[in-house]
Order: sequence, then C-alpha cells, then structure tokens
Amino acid sequence: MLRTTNKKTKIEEEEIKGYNSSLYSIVYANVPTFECNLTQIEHTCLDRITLLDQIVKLKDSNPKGNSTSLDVQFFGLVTQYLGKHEHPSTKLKDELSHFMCRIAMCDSEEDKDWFINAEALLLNFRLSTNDLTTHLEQFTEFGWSKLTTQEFETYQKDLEYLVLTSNGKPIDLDINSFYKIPFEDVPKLVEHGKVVLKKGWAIVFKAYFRELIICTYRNYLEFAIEKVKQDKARFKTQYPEIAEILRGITRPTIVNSKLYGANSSHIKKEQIPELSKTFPLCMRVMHDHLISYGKLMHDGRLQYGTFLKGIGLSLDEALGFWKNAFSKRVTSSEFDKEYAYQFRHTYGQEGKGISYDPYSCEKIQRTFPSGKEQVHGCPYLWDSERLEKKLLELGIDPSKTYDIVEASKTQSRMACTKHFHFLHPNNNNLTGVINHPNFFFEQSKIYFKQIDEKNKKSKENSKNNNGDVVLD
Amino acid sequence: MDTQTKTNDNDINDEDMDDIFGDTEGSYELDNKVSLRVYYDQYFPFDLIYEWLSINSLFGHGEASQIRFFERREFSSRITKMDGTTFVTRNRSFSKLDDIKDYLKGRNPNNNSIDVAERLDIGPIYSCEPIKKSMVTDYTPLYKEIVFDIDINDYNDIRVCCSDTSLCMKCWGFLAVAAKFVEMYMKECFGFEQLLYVFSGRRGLHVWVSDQRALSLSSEARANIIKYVKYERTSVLLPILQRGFDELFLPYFEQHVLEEQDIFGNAAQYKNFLSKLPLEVRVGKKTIIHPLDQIKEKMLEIKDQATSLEKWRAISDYFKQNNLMEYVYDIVFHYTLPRFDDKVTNHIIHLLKSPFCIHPSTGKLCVPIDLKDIDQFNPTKVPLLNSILSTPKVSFNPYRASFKNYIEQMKLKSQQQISINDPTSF
Repeated sequence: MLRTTNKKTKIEEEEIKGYNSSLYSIVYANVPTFECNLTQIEHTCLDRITLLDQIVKLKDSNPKGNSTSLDVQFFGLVTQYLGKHEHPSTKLKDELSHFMCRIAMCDSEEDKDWFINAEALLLNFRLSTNDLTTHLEQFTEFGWSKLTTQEFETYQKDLEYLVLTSNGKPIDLDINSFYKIPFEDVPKLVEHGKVVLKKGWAIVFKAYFRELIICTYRNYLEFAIEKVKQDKARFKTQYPEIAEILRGITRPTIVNSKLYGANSSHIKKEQIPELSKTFPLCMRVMHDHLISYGKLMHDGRLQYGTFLKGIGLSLDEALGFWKNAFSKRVTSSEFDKEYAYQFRHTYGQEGKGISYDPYSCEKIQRTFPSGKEQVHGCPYLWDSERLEKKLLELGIDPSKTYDIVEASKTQSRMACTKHFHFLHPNNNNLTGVINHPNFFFEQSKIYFKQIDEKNKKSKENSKNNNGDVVLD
Repeated sequence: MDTQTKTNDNDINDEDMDDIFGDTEGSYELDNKVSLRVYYDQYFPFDLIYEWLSINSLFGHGEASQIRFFERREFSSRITKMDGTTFVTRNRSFSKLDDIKDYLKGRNPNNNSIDVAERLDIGPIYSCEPIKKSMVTDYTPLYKEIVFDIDINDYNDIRVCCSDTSLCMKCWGFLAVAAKFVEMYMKECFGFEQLLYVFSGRRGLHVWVSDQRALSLSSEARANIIKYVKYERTSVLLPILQRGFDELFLPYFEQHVLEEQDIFGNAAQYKNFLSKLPLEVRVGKKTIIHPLDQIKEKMLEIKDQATSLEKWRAISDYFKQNNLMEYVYDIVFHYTLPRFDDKVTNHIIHLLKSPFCIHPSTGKLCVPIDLKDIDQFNPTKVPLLNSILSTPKVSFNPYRASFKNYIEQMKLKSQQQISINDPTSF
C-alpha cells in the first residue's frame, strides 16, 4: 500500500508519484497508492487530528446544528488543515492522513470512538454542502440497493407512509426516492421508526439519506478499524518507522479518563452523602437508589464505583462505604464473600490487576444502555416522563426541568451541562460541555472552592471592619 | 422455608440472577422429585430439543457443525435439595444427550437426597464451551434465538377475570393476540419463518425465533425490534401497527376485551377506561373540545340500553368525527398491544425455560402451541406431571408429536433458505 522515501517534506502537486485522485471518495472506500516520506505522514496526521478536534469543538459549541456560519467556519478549517478544495494534493493529504489515523487510533476503544465520531462529523459537514445524489451510487457496495419495480409497486402503501411522515410531497413517491438496506445496519433509524421494515430490509426515504450515509459510514469505519487492529502487529514489524511516528499521534486529551483514574485528593466515605448533592445526575440517581434500597446492580456498581474512585475514594474507604450501603440486605460477611471481590477488582487488586478508570459519558452511553427501570447508564437517555419526575423530585424548579428535559431529547450532554449550571449558579468556569462525570465533579469542586475563598475574604473584611469599630 | 442460594460462579450473584432468570419461586416435594426423575428418564424429548437448538448451526453444514453448535450452548438449572438449599448451576454445556439427561436426573439416586433439577434453562451459544469458561480469556456470547416473553401479570391493570399470576382462557386471549402479532411482525418485517410458541407453565407465553439471521442479531438490533413497534400517540400508524390494528387488535378488542374484561360494567375498569380519555383537545385554530366530559354525558344518555360494543362504537365515532383517530389508537393499543418483558428479548445472555420442562410451582408441562390452535388453547387444562406419567398417550405423546412435526418443518425451511442463499448447493 505504501512506500516511504526520505527526501521531501511538503506534498506538492508535481511531486505526487503514482497517486490517482480519481479513486478518491469522501468515505475513503479505496486505499490509495503513492510514494511519500515519513515527515509527510507525521505532518498530515497531526494536521488531521487538529482538524478533527476543531470540528468536534465547533459542533459542541453549536449543538443545534446547521447554520450557514457554521459551514463557513468548517470550510475555513478544512482549507487551513487540508488545503484548498480544488487542489489535487488536498485529496492526497486527506486520504493519507485518514488511513494513517485509522492505524494510530485503533488501539484503545476510547481513541477509536473519538475518531469515528469526529470523522462522522467531518462527513456530515461535507455532505451538508454537497448534492447527496452524487454520492449515493458509491454506497451500493455497502449493501444498499434500489427497490425493484415489483417491490416499488407492492409496497406502495408503506412508501406513502414514509413520504407522508417525512413531510415529503406526492411527487416524491418515486422509485429513486428510496433505498433499502439490511435493517441491522441502520439501528438508529429503526429505533425511531423512520423506516419501513420489509423482509429484513429497512426501506429508507430520501429525507434520511444523509443519516443513512453517516450511519453506514460509521459501521464501515468501525469494521475497518477492527481489521486494522487485528493486523497491527504485522504492520509494526513491517513498518517500524511508521509505527513509531504513529505512536506520537494521539487524541486531544480534553476527556482523558486516565486524568481521573489516579486522583490525588482524598475523600472519606462520610463525605459522600453531602457531596452527592452536586454529583452529575447519573451518579446521583445511583446514589439515591443505593441508599434507599441498599442495592445496586453489577453494572451500576462498576459505573458508580469507578466514579467514586476517580474523585478520590480509596479502596478501604470504598469497601466501607459499600458495605454500609448494602447493610440493609447483606451481612458484613456476606458482603466480603459476594461483593468485595468486585471492588478490589476495580481497584486492580484482583484478576489481571488492571485498575479501572472512571467511565466517560461516551463510554457510559455505549456500555450501559438505559433500560426502563435500571438506574445505571445515562439518565438523559430515559424517556422524558421518568427524567422529569426525577428532576422535580430533586427539587429543580419546573421551568428549569422543562429546559433540561427538552435538551435531553437531542443532546444528552447539553442537558447534563444545563443541570450543572443549575446546581452551580453564576458559575463562570465551565464554558464547554460536560463529557465526563468526573469532569462534572472537578468543575463542581473548583466552583465551591472559589465560593469558599470568596466567603473567607468577605469574612476577613468584615472582621477587619469589626476591628475598626472596636478601635473607634 | 429458609432457603439459601449458592452459585458455582463467582461473577454472578443473586441480584444479577434475578435479572437473568425469570420467575424462580417454588419448591419440591419428595414425591414430585421421584416423578420428575422418571419424567426426565423416559419422556423429556432430549433428541428433539437437540435438533431444535442445532439445526440452524452457524458453524457450517452437517452433523459435525450441529454438534459443535450444541456444545457451546449454555444451559442452566436450579436444584433444591431436601434441606431446602437451592443451587443454581450456570455455564453448563453438554456434548452428549445422555449427559444432559444424567445432569437433570441428578447424581444421588437414593430417596433421601435426590438433587433432581427443577427446570432446564437455555442460554446463548458462546465462543467456547461454557464448561470451559474459566480456561479461556475470550468468552463471549455469539448467537441466540430471538425470544419474546409475555407474562399475564403485566396485564393485571386491565383484566378482571383473574389476578396475580393466575391465567384463564379469557385472559389467555391477551397472550394469543400478542402471539399472532409477533407472527405477523416477524414474517412481514424480517422474513423470519421459524417461530415456536411455548406455554411457560404458569403465567406466560414464550416465542422462540430460530432463523439463522435471527440467531446472529446483536443486542442492539434485538432491542430495536421491540422499540420499533412501541406505540406513541400518532394519527398515522407505522404500516405494521396499522395492519395489526385492522386485522388483530381492533377485532380482538371489540369482540373480546370489551365484554370479557367488563370495561363498561365494572366500576374500576370503567374508571380506568375513562382515565385514558383526554380532558381537552384543541381542534382547529380556536376550538377546544372536552372529550372526557362529552363522552361521560353521552354514556349517561345511552346507559343500559346499549351493548358494550355500541357504547364503544359511539366513543370511537366521536373521535373519528373530530378527526382525532389517535385517541382511538391510544385506547385499543392500551388494551391489546403485546406487553413484552423487554429485557428477556434485549439481553442475549438471558436464559429462558426450555420447552417440555415441568413448571416448578404449578407442575404443568411447558407445551409448544400451534399458532392455528392458539385461540382454543386452555392454560388450565395443560397436562400435569402426574398425568403424564399415568396416561402418557393422552397427556404427552401428542405434544411430542407436534413438536417433532414443527422440527420437520424447520428442516424443510432451513434447506430452502440454504438453497436460496447458496446457488451452488443445488
């Protein structure tokens, strides 16, 4: 796939050897062949990571989505980091950096998720300014196909339903307005009833083609990166120099779980009940459940346990805390026998000795789907009624609750951030979006520390004032 | 009785157990234990269960692949000893049919300490044989039938004929209509054809979908299958729900639920029914109507002179005239849409009781049911363990024969599917 030379550092049009830009596709379906050198690889990869990081931030700062000013900013970024659109070297840079980053990002789940998310955003931006139909043909190899005339006629009524519910016009009832795809490949569209299911196919109306492309692309990347991972050992022995360079290509570390893994500050188990009042909602829900019922399921213990560990609860303190919390149902010796193992495991004292990091929002949402009655997972993915009830129960006023519930419908992390702002009024430290429960907690800590300092200052002031009065 | 639960597996404790198993209550008398042993020894159709679980092997074609597929299936059981101690054994797997038989019969044949298994639960196929779990690092569930579990006690708020976990022919109707919808949904939307319906022995119905594509679905896809047909208020129904409404739910509601569950006669039922009606609805730009009050009035007018059906038709006409079809759907679906136990379907590792078990607390045989007979099925007339042993010709053989027949059908369908998927095979 790739040979390296060591002469040049910049990719210029005339220097591209053997690169065929006509095979370029915005979903990177073909692996390109060309010559380049190590420095070029490093530079393009670093640029791409920065570009992706910027795109993620751009999106986070405008969760509502697609305004034109956003598109302008986006194109500014792409030009800045990849080059001008019409320039052939842009395509090469784009492909080179994408494929290399696949290799760089394949090792850890978190890196991979971040990469896939960011790449999906990139594609989403690109599609918003392109005519979709020009891209559709590329997707037949991803398992999509058009309806046959016979299917189109037999399913007429179902297709009408799709047009009607997507605010389409009667004229849209055309065979080219639909694609079919195996239903397993479009879980989100199935979940929300945006497709008609027929014999294992999901029939998609053109209003959802963009979602469909993104969804297909994510599946494809997921699959492709898994392949890269399996092949990485061979890659390392075959191209040690490239592997070494890629080791230096890392995901921007705003949300680094490791950061929260070994917390230097210590807290005592007795502090938890008080602290829990300003925990993120997911932890608060589990804490409340644990205290009132004296139990928490395995996944919940993992999610809440690692969080507590992250905020500085030592293993001994943790064992004490959980034993006490479970004491409604289990005796101390039963606890030691049945449950203590898991907590020691989490702290790396059992099994393979791996210490578990606190889970990020992304990982929580991925690993713990929010079931109807379960308390672990992300509460902003609950149905609105249950979320509303819980928020009101916690004493959040109805208008604010409405605000949070509305946000949760589209952006769980925005909803969480709103909750943070509610718990911490007039806070001006947190400007971004919550993406990690421990980040929530750290921000909360900073907030209260500042308030403490303020209070101390004003107390000192008033003391001084008092002193003045006495002197007078 | 003071029971104590022990398990042979460190990773699982009792809470998780409750989550993975369905109902787990019940105990066994000595007599029953002896009978149960005879049942396992002479009647339980191990050969058919083996075929049923392995015909659609995803490890290739032929006998060898079938065996391999079967070997990696997780089985589990619950054994109550004479002293009241309950043992749960998980992660069991078998390579020979005789081994399961021996396992279910228990190891101590003397009358004072029979540890015969109360039930057999079926789990997924893992990446290696479950008994070898501790010897490998990568132990993941790979395949499982899609299963649906519908329990009648989830309908308690809308039925008056029975309460708690009891089940009569009237409320069986809820489960029967659920089964018919599952059949329609699976066939039309997914093209699945190999569906087995099993009475769970006490309060519910299990559906097993064994098509190859069904076996390999992810947990996410399974959850979405359930979510796709969740109804939320709308005037334009998803095509499959529309078909279900027209062909199954509305007819069942009008012909059975109204009368059999005494919607208008029983005070509590009527109150519940009214609570489903909207207080006020905006129609058009300026008009607000008050359906609840208007319908209450209407009902008082036609009181006693009308049948339940006429009363209901008056209500549904009222909504239709006001262009508020969604409220008709609200009511009908509330009373008829299947109330699945979601987590049984969603979690691939969930275990479900095998067909032909004897239910531990009712002693009833968990019989497969042919969908075309489902309306006539009477859950109170299901063979009991004792009757199986005394009159097997009537109480057991027909069920075995019909299960066997189902498996023959499965084989035919599987062959057809292979010939469709693989052009070189014929």
